Amino acid sequence: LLRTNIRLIPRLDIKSKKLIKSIKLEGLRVVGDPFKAALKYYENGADELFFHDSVASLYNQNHLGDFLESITDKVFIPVTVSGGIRTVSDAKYLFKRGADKIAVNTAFVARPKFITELSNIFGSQSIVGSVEAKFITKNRWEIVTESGRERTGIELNSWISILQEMGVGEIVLTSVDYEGTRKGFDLKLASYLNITSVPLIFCGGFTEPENILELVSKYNVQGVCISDYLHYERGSISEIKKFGKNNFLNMR
Amino acid sequence: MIKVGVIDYGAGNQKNIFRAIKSIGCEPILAKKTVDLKRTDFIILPGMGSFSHAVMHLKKSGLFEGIIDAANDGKKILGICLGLQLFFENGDESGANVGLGLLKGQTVPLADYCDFENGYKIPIMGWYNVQWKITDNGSEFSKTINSISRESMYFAHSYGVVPNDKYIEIGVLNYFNSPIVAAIKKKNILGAQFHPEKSGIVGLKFLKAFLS
Repeated sequence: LLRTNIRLIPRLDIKSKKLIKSIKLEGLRVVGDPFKAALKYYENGADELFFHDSVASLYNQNHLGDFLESITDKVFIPVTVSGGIRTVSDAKYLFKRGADKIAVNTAFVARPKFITELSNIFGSQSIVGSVEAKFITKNRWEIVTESGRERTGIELNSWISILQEMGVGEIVLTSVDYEGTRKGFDLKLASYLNITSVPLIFCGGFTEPENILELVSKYNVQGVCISDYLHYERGSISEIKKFGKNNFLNMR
Repeated sequence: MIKVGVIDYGAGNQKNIFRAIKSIGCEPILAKKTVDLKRTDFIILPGMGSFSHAVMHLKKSGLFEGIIDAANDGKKILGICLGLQLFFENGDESGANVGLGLLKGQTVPLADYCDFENGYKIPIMGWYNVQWKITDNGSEFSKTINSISRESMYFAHSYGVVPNDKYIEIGVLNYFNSPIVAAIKKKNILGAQFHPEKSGIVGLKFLKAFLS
């Protein structure tokens, strides 16, 4: 098995102060209170937290500032924020309110130079490339934006090379086809992907702890995002860690 | 109440170190100018931003000399991640740069400098164990380190420090079979390559040990 430690990252999608869950990035359903959920996951041993503002892209603005301010008073682990980040001042605002990393999709696709601008100021370790990949045809995945609504025609591996060259410090890769489906991680996507030089976080489809073992025993992945499984209380972080330890996965 | 000066690099990054300091019962003070350091008991150089951006900002605000003077006066200073790297002579994130020079040595890009085994990723990002080398077993600081020595700390960095004096290295991270400096200590200067403010309860214990 790989020597990197696997991070378990609860992903919380937030809309109008509610914790929501989608299926294939669509059909948002309210599943709880994001503050209570985040605090619970922290106390249960989460390695990081990922917060996404689900409507930010629509309004060109991230609304999670106040939420970040209050949750980071209570949790002392890294926090990544995504949704609607378009400018250096958007980024600065979120870092000021408590973000440790920011993840960007749409604005990077629109203007890849924005990646370098951000990493020159904030350091590449705090700039995350958020990538949404969609299966197009045999041996071709493309990236999409606007929560899966917009096709870009850009092939996945070439886009990931650009992200790395321009200076992201991490990639969070979401399989749009598997997201919210409880089918396990998209292993075909994992095998299609070239090995990344920066840490890679897989997102979409987690349904049971075995999924992590399947993924990291074959592919060079540093962490996984988990949402549905935790939000619907089908299991907990500590259960996954117990499974991981029993199966010799490197975890905190 | 113990007052802790947190150095401002202008990248808007002090919030989380502020929260961590408050949570252990101390008072954080944002240090924008050298005069702000006068009323502090400790100084922390936080760990976010790029080397060149931070140096540029410190020179502009005059804190560059202010920090050096405070360190030479014996004030206890903790550098976290980038803060640790700034203690040394040179750093080359985004071009060649001159650091504070409080410690002899370099800041280097890990991917070029280290001989990692295959499969490594840079930045080093995640929770890793630190191998501690503490010799003065009597102090409160070393007692705390011993009590947390089996726990993981959170790392997020692409650059690392190479001190000229090996004896100042008090903690090492073994990453893909290559040793990375995780912590240094020399007199009143302490440095952590990991983020204590982001390493849960264990990280807060480390901070508390520094601030006592």
